[in-house]
Amino acid sequence: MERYREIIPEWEAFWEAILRPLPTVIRTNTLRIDPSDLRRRLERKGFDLRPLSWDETCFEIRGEIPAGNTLEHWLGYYYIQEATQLLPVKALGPKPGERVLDLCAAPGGKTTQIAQYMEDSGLLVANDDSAKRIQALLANVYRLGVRCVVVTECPGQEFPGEAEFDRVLVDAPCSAEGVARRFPHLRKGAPPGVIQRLATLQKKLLVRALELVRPGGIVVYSTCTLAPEENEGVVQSVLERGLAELLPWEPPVPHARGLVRFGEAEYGPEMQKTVRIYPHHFDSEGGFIAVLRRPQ
Amino acid sequence: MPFYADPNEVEKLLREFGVEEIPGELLFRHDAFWLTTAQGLPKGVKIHAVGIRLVRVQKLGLKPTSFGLMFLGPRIQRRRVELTREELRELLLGHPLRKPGLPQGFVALSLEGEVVGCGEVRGELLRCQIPRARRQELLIVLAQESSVLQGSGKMPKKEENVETPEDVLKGAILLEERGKAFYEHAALSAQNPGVKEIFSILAREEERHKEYLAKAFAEFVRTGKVSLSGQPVDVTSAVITPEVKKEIEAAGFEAAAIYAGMALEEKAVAFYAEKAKTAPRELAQFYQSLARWEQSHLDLLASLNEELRQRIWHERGFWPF
Repeated sequence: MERYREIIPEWEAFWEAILRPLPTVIRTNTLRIDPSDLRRRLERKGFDLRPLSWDETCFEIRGEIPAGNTLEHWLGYYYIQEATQLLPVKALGPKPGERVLDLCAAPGGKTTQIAQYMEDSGLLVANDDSAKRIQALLANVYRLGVRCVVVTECPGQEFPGEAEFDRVLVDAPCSAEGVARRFPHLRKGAPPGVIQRLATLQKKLLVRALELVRPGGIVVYSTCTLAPEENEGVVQSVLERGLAELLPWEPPVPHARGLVRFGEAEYGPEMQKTVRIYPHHFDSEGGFIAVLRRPQ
Repeated sequence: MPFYADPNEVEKLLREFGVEEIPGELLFRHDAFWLTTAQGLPKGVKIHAVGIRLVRVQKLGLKPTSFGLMFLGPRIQRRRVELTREELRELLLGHPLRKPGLPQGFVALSLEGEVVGCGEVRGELLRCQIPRARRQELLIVLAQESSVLQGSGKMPKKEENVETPEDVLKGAILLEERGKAFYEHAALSAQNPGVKEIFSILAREEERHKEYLAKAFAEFVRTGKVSLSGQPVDVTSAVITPEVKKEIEAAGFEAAAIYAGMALEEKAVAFYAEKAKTAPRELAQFYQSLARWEQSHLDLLASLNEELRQRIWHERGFWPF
């Protein structure tokens, strides 16, 4: 991670946050229960819940037993979802009745969040290329009781069709440096060869997503890594080819803007429309979000 | 295709449960009826699911799925069997319950007003039809919740409000009781003999902690002091053999129970360590020794959990490299 010293503001605070335990955040499954009812039920079981200031359906939760071991969780009344992971779907902004594709969907946190935005109507395709991970996706879709979803298995870069969707989420497989708070072995950063290989795949995924969305439709590209090659570098590749335009997005949480340059790579001022989240910004994991529009 | 693979038959089946209106479209595929609101299907791609699998088409007829019944829960007015936590636990462990007077065939199992899945009545016996993995998860939930709801069924006392040494001791005894209740449930539910033994040992350990604390509490009430003499000896360090590690099924009940046990132990270590910070010297030493004691349990469970975590990470392909 040392190579990020120059680009991450407040480097010491960043590392201090990486070494702190991560707060547990839950998202109410509003398709099944009202947030205030959920809060009341969990408080009766001794949990302390504090609503997130920027999303009243989500709570930071503390209790004597893990949040995943309650009847309410088992019944699908909430999903444990890290705070930064809530943001890509906010950026995507799906609406009821739309056709939406979640291209790399497992294990299903963002899929089920999208379904809530869509009020369980329209068409939500949740795709993944791994049969094993699809089992986790199915378990969550069934548990949360989502009816508008179709779960598919296909390498994302080969997903068939043309201009089929109003919105596409590419929450891409990545080197996952942003989740180093949970997984200490990621704290040393990913090897350059791995980053390079992932960036190649990510570019293919994003290109395919831009072909699958209708002209004027929205594609959100997100990762949970800090590596510019997997973030700004990927977005730059589609901008250069004229496949998309970047839209500015203002998240409801403290954040940094995308990088204009990194090392010898020049991404340009346009990249400041993208968003970087660092763990010390609001006691979360790290991530990257870009909102793109397919030209008309 | 059998005659009952017909949406009208599904509607008829659900009417027996009191569901008059199906909330969505019924779609037949993969030997099942799916409940969906999806507008169209993608073409040229392998489809695993379309909404919620509601009813399976089997050789002997239609069978409602547990997820389907759970989704329909509030609409289910008939063929609904309300269970106590103890009854549900027995069913989840695979033990049939004798329940005379129930309608024959499939029923919705309900706990505290929530439909939790499918059961089947034959004669006077009620059996659980919830899938195995979900049953294991629910067993963990019942064991964990029993540790916080034990006794009064009210909200657990919050240790943060505990101030006096007497209250700290009371809080500590309560913690040990919860730990014991949890490990006893876990030992009963674990299938693997090695793991069952670990949980039994931990339950006995918590009981010994409780007895030790009760003695300390009595002494404190009598003399106003807490003695460090007669502290129990930790016996858990030698129980994890390589064979036990190998036998634990990563996706099973045991794995989840280990994780849940860690949370309990972490809470106990934090509780004693926190109290040691502000207590008088003699009492602080007492709390520190209790924290070390619980830490040894935590270390034991953490080493098992780490083993499993590495296995899951690699086996399920979550590692992106």
